[in-house]
Amino acid sequence: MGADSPKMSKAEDTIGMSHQEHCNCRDQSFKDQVVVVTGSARGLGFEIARRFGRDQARVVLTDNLEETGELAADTLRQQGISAEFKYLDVRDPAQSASLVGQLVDEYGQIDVWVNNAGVVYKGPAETLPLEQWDDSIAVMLSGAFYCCQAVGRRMLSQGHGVIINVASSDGIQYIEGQVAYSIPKAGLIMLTQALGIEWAQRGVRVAGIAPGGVAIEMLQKGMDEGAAELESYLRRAPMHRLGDFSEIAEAVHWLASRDASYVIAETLRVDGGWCAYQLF
Amino acid sequence: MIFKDQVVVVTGASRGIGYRIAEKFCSEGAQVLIGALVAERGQQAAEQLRQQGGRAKAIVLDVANPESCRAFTDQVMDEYSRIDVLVNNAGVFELYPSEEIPEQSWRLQIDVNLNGTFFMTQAVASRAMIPQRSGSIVNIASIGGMGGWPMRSAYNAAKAGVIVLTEVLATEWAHYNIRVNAVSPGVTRTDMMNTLIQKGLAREDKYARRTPLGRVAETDEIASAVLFLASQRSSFITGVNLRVDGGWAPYGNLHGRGFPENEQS
Repeated sequence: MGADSPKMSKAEDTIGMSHQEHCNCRDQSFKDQVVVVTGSARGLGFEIARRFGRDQARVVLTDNLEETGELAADTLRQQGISAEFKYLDVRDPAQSASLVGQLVDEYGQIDVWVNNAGVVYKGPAETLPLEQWDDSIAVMLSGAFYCCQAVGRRMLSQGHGVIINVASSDGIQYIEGQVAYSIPKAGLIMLTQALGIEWAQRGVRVAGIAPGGVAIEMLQKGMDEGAAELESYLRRAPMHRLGDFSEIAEAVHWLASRDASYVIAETLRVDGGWCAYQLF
Repeated sequence: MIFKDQVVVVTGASRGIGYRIAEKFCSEGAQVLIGALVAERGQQAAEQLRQQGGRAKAIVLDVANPESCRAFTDQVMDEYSRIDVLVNNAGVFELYPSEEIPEQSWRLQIDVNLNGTFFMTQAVASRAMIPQRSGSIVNIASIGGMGGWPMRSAYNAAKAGVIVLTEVLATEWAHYNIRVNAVSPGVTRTDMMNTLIQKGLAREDKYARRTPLGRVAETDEIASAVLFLASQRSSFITGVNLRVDGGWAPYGNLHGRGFPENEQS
């Protein structure tokens, strides 16, 4: 409902203040909110941060790529977005805990936290180096949990907050060679359910997205393995195209908004129909 | 006004979730066509929306009758020449122990909830969306379509059918630039729900306690998910079933009493 919408009906009143507020200021629904996106020095994470920034959120980019991260924050500031970069290696729970403390000191609140940091290792299960397995779990599953716990405590005490976990279609359907990637992503989907349920009553909403067939991964793969790979991928994809980062970011943005107030413990596929299609 | 001048069809929109969906599309600038089984109720709903400044019109529609679906679609096409969004919302629900459910009730629930969704989708896709090479379809399924709820065999089987139908049509018509998605509401405060409460067949507090969020959904919360999936904002989303259920479906409910923290409420 836009600010110019003719009315809100009686039933609307029963939803409560927060929803009403939202209805009156939809375009600025993230104005001045503090939005943190992990793994946002580049790629999808950066695009997600930018999407919230366009809505006048104060965005915090975090990554373990310091130089790229600083440049990314610069780029956003040049676009008129309030943005800063903070170093964070999500593998280390002490770092996420101390970052949450720092951000609370600095901004007074954290409204939205997006767990996006990831690493990609590919290889057959029987020969996958165990360090790669461990690192995948450390970044995409344990890392996400450490962040959830640190920011979740804060959000529970402030009585509101939204956490969005970026999972993957690979956490739903298996593609050969992806054991190190799929398993933590599947775990992340269950983590979204667990925390979504545990914290629902206390004002902290946890949801997720499962992107699939997005530009970065597949293009990289296409380049690594020759263009034929990309062609066969596009033939099999129902929409016959790759998804754009902006399309994934839009879904994160919607899920984080008050429009999605009853969407809890759910992971929304943003995959152009990839998982739905089960034929050739 | 993200649906400005778009032609949007919402079936079963005389009341409940469907009405709220129609209302939200109106407030986003759409021309809304209400499909109504009972002409008078549809007219009333459309009139109410027009009084609020919306552009709405009701046309009689029995989704269980393919002839009626085609006639409805033809009438819309004659007047507006396109259909951008179809929301299959019309539904009917009856409670019966499965060993006793009359054949008539089983058939009615499958007919309206599942067959009706397909017949209407077929009519709109073949006559409007495929020729125009664009469209977005949102089916109202249910969390009932994702699991076992005693005494709801027909309804839940039909809704499960809608969820898979959504996947099939999404993959079949993606190349026509048609997206097909479903929304599965949790227990929502609607007329359907109120009727059950009045008949003593349901208690809102029991449903609220079973929900991790601790309350039933408001129609507005379902409608906002429908608008998101109908809009260009979800351009890479097709073939999904979006749960809008306050955490209901994945909750294991160990003691069968609902969420512990909800007990005081």
